[in-house]
Amino acid sequence: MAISATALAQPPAEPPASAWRVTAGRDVVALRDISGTGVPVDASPVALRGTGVGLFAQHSRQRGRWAHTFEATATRATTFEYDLGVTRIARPSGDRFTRIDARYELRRRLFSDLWIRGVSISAGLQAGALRTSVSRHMPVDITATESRVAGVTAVAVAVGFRRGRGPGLEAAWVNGGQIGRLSARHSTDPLTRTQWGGGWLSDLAITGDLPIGGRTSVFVRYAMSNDGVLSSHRSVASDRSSISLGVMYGR
Amino acid sequence: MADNLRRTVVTLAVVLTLGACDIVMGPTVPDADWKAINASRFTFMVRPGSFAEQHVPQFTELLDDQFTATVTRLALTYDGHVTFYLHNTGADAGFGDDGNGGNRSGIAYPDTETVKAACVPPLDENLYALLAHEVNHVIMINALGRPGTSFVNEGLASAMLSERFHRIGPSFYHRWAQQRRAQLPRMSLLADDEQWKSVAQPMSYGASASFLAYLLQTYGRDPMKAIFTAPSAQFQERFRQAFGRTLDEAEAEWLLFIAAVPADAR
Repeated sequence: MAISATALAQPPAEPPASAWRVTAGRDVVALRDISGTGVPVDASPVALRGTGVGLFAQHSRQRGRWAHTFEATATRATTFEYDLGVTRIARPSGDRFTRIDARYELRRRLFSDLWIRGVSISAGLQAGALRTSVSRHMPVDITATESRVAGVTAVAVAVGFRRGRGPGLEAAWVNGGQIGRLSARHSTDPLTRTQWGGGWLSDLAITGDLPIGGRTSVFVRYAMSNDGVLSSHRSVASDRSSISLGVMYGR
Repeated sequence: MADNLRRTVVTLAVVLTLGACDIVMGPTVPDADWKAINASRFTFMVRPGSFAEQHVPQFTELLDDQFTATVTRLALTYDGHVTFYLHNTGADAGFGDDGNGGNRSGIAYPDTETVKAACVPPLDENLYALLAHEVNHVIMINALGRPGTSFVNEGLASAMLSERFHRIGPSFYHRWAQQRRAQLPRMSLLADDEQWKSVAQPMSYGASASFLAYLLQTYGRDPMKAIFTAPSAQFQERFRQAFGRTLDEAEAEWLLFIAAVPADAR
């Protein structure tokens, strides 16, 4: 009975009606070119691995069981090496990778207080766009740049934990597809070649927030994003991981 | 209790239905049972104690020669570092469609300057030609850009083979084509990526290698480089602009050329 009384005294386990989240941190991206397009795809055993900075911004609005979320991520990596698993090979300077990803998500909370009080499960649909660009420099004087602009649709499932106004935790798993326009430029070819391509994407984001007073919380985010795009004579798989720290402001 | 169980089952069903796209589609992670040997401009990844490990000096000599030959003949400025993953069997490499269990197969990954190949005894010209062909993909794609057709991509990688350490090169392909004149496919068919796979692989690779080697010997490297990135839809027009004749006219010249190749030419 004492436990029940304590539980009843807690505020309702509701996320803020409106929240802003902003983080910055370290991103690592690994690119592997694909030669065979079976299932699974046949990709290079070597990854072109780059490290750099990542930014994340999100705005969400809660309406009862429904939530509207707008978010954007940006990555820029400038330090690269070849990762062979058992060893690494330095890359010449000049390689660059950028990625900008903007999404809208409509999510519905399906279950609340599932098994444990404060645990909820939600599902949602995402739509958005992403742009990536990778520029590789090869000695002596060659630069190859490939970019992609793609539309994204995906389905999201999230498990959250929050009790009252205490710390919150959430894991969101997103799976979907992308269709986009790929373009390639090469320093020996004056023409920019473009073609269509399509592929998959899977994202996993684990976030936590710890209130530090008023409406502000410290916000931590770890995210993995894996995607691939297949096109004629040009297919690539990329893995990106990001750990970032920032603030959440909720009302 | 029953309600919670129902919710859990529903949730698990939703998650499983969604699947995990990257787990299904995404590439597998290579295993760690490799030994790295650096030699010249190459890194050889070999299984410890393997046939490949024993022959790294020979492969280095072969590939150094091929690298120099390709860069020089096409006047390329590429000077990169190439990694070779040399598997003990085709099955170990994930191959299996070359009629020999994948034991005579290889794949190039130009973006990461990498080659994966089955490295199976004996140490013969077939193995040499396989490794040299794959390194040519890495060199040419990095130096010239993405190939527009499988025809040029595969044909030129074989047409550029150096004949210093093995016989499989332009002379071999000309003689090979001469012996199969009646079965040779039209070049316009091979230049169409939609049709490329309709021709059996030895025929498509061999015919395109001989034809492109002939063009290179006759017209030089500049027109060849000009058609490297031409996609199938633009190929015939780009070919005409680069060589000053149609693909069909060049094919007719090539057929006359291979008819005159001495049968015992080396």
